[in-house]
Amino acid sequence: MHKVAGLLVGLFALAAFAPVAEAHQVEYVSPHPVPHKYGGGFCYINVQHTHNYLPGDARMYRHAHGHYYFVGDPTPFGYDGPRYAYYGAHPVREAELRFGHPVFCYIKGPHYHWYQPPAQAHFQLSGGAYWYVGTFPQVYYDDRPRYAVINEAYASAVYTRPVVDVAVAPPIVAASISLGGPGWRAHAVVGGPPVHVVAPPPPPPGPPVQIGVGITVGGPVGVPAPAPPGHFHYDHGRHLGLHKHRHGGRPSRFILGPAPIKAPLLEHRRGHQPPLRSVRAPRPAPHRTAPAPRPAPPRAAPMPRAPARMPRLAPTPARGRNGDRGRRR
Amino acid sequence: MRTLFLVIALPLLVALPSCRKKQPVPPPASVHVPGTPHTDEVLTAFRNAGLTPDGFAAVKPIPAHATYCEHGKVNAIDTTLCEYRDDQALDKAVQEIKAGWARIDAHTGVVVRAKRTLLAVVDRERREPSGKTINQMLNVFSGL
Repeated sequence: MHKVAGLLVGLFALAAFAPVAEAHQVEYVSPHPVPHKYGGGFCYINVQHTHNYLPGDARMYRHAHGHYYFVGDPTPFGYDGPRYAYYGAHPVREAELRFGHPVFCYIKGPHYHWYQPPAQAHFQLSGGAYWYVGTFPQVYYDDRPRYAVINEAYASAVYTRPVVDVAVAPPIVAASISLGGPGWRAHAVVGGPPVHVVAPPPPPPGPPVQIGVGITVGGPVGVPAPAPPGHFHYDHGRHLGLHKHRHGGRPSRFILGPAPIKAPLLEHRRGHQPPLRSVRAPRPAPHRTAPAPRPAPPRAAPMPRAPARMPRLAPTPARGRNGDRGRRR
Repeated sequence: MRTLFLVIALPLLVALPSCRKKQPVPPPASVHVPGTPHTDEVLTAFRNAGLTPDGFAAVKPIPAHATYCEHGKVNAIDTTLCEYRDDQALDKAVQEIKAGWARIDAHTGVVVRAKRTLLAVVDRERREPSGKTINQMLNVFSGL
């Protein structure tokens, strides 16, 4: 009797722990990296498809209704298709359409995606990258602790990120940087080991233009830095070249430092949106601020009142004509 | 003796015509489903896009729910094209195809439709992990 009972228990245990005969199939609804175990590289299939493997790093995906959508930067995985530069967090409309609810990319700083933002979305192309200039809904902040781990996933990746000229950021962002306005804080490009410059781009002489030089995460980089003086929080002075900026003198627009992988370059403070009234260009081109040599047209009569307001908006003490005028008054 | 000769020769005579090389015979127009891209149109579009369809022939017996099917390879990747008379039959077929991938542990599988024509691609042996060819096929197919 005992033998029979033991046999039954053994058979039951064998059946319970027997491997499942049917292989596991995983549905993807976007292009995605292929795990190293399965050959590595990147899968370019841009419709719903099936593989017999799970994502290599779940931090780079959104998962809903049994489908995986890759929300990361495809560049480190050998992606060689068309790509578009973005800066900071933004909505991912394509994923939103697939899943039926808002999906956001939480990658800090400059990064690439294979898709262009839709025309109707609140994106602005500036400084060589798309910036999201719309308002983030509450769900963005609610999900941020969960999904911002994607930055940890990319921290060890060595690849060339896009170089974005922060000096020509959209005014709504730039004004907040220069004024320390509501809702935004500017951080330095910080974190990671000390770096050295490979090919620092020279400061452009004229109006800001996009500089097509890449940076390397975790390695030698040349990261563009905001031009407007003052009001920058540079992560407690861990930044190379920062002392020049803090102790007077005109800061270089390209401050050398590691890629923005540890702290956000721009952080949208919860519940705030910078008012449009305080918007101004972060670094107006000299030719725009210089006085026009020709006489003002008759309909520009109220113009002299405008400079009187400018010093309040502009934290930079202008030593040019505006400053002189202020003293005369 | 004569009987023995007949017993040996007759099966040979019957089998002889089947020794000829198979020529791909285009299916009569009546087998195709009207109002949806025909399999031969899809293959022509693939060729025009620089892909290389090879060995496509009508599938016999016709897989469940389909009206007409062809199977072959495009750039060495298993491809099946089927035409359906109604959406219900097509939806059933999609479910069965996906269940089949799980059974064979397919590395990559894609099934898409254009009207009532179904394109099913399966890469069983990881011939193309990047899926670039498959994606090209899908782009062509979705444009039909």
